[in-house]
Amino acid sequence: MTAFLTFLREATTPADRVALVAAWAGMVVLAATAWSAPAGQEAVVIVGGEEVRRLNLANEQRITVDGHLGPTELRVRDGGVRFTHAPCSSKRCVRSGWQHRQGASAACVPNEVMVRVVGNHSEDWDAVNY
Amino acid sequence: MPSTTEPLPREPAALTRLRRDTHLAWLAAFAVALHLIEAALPPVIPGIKPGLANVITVAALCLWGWRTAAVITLLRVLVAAILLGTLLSPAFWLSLGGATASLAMLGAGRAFPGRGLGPVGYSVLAAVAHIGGQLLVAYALFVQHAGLFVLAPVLGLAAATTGTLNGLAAYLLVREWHTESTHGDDVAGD
Repeated sequence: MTAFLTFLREATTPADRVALVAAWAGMVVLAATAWSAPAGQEAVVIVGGEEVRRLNLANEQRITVDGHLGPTELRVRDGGVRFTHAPCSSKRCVRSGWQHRQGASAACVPNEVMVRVVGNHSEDWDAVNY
Repeated sequence: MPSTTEPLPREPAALTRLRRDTHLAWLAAFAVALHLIEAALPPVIPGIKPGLANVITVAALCLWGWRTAAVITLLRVLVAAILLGTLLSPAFWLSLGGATASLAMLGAGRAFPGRGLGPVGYSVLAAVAHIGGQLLVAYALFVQHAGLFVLAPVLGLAAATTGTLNGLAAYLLVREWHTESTHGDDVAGD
């Protein structure tokens, strides 16, 4: 490690170090801005593929929707939404926790209930493949 | 630095030109070989290549100046495309776009004050410019969709990594060619 740093010192001029820091910092900032989706404004509750409710994330609230298996409880607080109770067996939806950012979602698949956070002009990607 | 592109005292002009052309041909051949080897390697991550041929571009820039580096790079892109059969295909235009952008960046990089940039700085800046140029060409010619730029951070971070490593390789190459003056036995006296 020390040997590598010594080599790095020897191999670079002061201008090189400026260029290295600038290039790396630029790319890290680019990555950070591109990958942190903005906070969402609303949550869309979808049951069996149909949108049933739209929740404003600014209002703290608890709601219950009827899923395929039975009543399912959701909670909104501090600009996020989460499942609190569900009649499914795995409880994966509850363990998904809070969803804050645009495009984030949690789903209770056996129960056919899904919640998705959206923004004002939400056009986000689920995944990128190339 | 023994600049082998400078004429010796009382050397016939034809010999100076011959020397310069020989350097160009050697370096372009090295660069084409690296480009071909890289094309034959399996892609570890799709869309990301180490860009080894740019080691030659950067070394040429540091040893013989920007014009030599530009000629070598453009020759390499053209010859490698002919050999790979990708001439005038999307891959060729992307390659050319990246090369043009990085050459422009290398030209601008000479303006650094003080001791100026060395191989490492040139390499990392050129790598980042290369990705920028490629994305612009890809956007302008092939994919008119802003979704393309979601890739930018992945490619940019990869470029910073490969640019740094290639720069260190170019540094070693420049140091080697400098001290042993492989290309300038006949001018070792100056």
